[in-house]
Amino acid sequence: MSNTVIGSSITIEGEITSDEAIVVQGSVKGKLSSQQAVFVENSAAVEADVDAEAVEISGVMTGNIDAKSRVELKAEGKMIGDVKSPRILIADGALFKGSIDMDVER
Amino acid sequence: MAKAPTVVTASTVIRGRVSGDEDLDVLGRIHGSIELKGSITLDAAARIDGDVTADHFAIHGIFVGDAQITDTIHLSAASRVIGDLRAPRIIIEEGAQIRGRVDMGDAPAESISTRSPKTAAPRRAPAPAVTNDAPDEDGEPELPAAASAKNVSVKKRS
Repeated sequence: MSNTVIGSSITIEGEITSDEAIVVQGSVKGKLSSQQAVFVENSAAVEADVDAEAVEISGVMTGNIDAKSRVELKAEGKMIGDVKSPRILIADGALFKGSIDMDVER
Repeated sequence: MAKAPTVVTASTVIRGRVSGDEDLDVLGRIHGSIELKGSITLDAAARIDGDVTADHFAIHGIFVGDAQITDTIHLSAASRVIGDLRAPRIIIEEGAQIRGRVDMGDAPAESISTRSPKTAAPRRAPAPAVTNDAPDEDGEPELPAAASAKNVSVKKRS
């Protein structure tokens, strides 16, 4: 039940890798990868490619997402970038610009 | 959530620059520089490779790099440090391992480092009774001569 938390005043330029969930409240530029979920919270500004099991966005996110199970863009969330995931949810009010790839078989 | 809001858990590796003004708890690894207004706690199983600037720095794990701390550096018994430490207050517990310079003063580092070799050099000199060129031999203890004589007498082998 321990998450890596990047607090709201923290800025990281570089790469974060974890087996646990990563909660971003501050700003991250670079790359984020987790074996579990990545949470981009309200106060967060992420400019990174994200590779995770699941991604939840309530903040501002620029970059591409590759999620094994799901991506959820909440009503407060803003996202620019491409998303690749089998399940993608975009809430009413969310802003999104980019392409979506659910790996649909033809 | 008020205390140590930023946590880097054990399996987490950060490569790059970390900056901000709140406390940071490191249980994993950080490769890169950290610039923080606040406290950094480096857990026993954790490791930081890179230069650190902060207000407080408590080291229980491995730290490789230089630390410039405005308040206190605390090296606990299990800590291992390779690098230079600079802070007005530095606490080193028994068992802590450190290789590097420790600087607690406001004085520039040069004035200290130039003074120390002058006192160290003459003691190293071999001990012939007549020394022509030795510039200052006032108040120098004659320990080296006695020590080397003792070494010679011991050197007989059976």
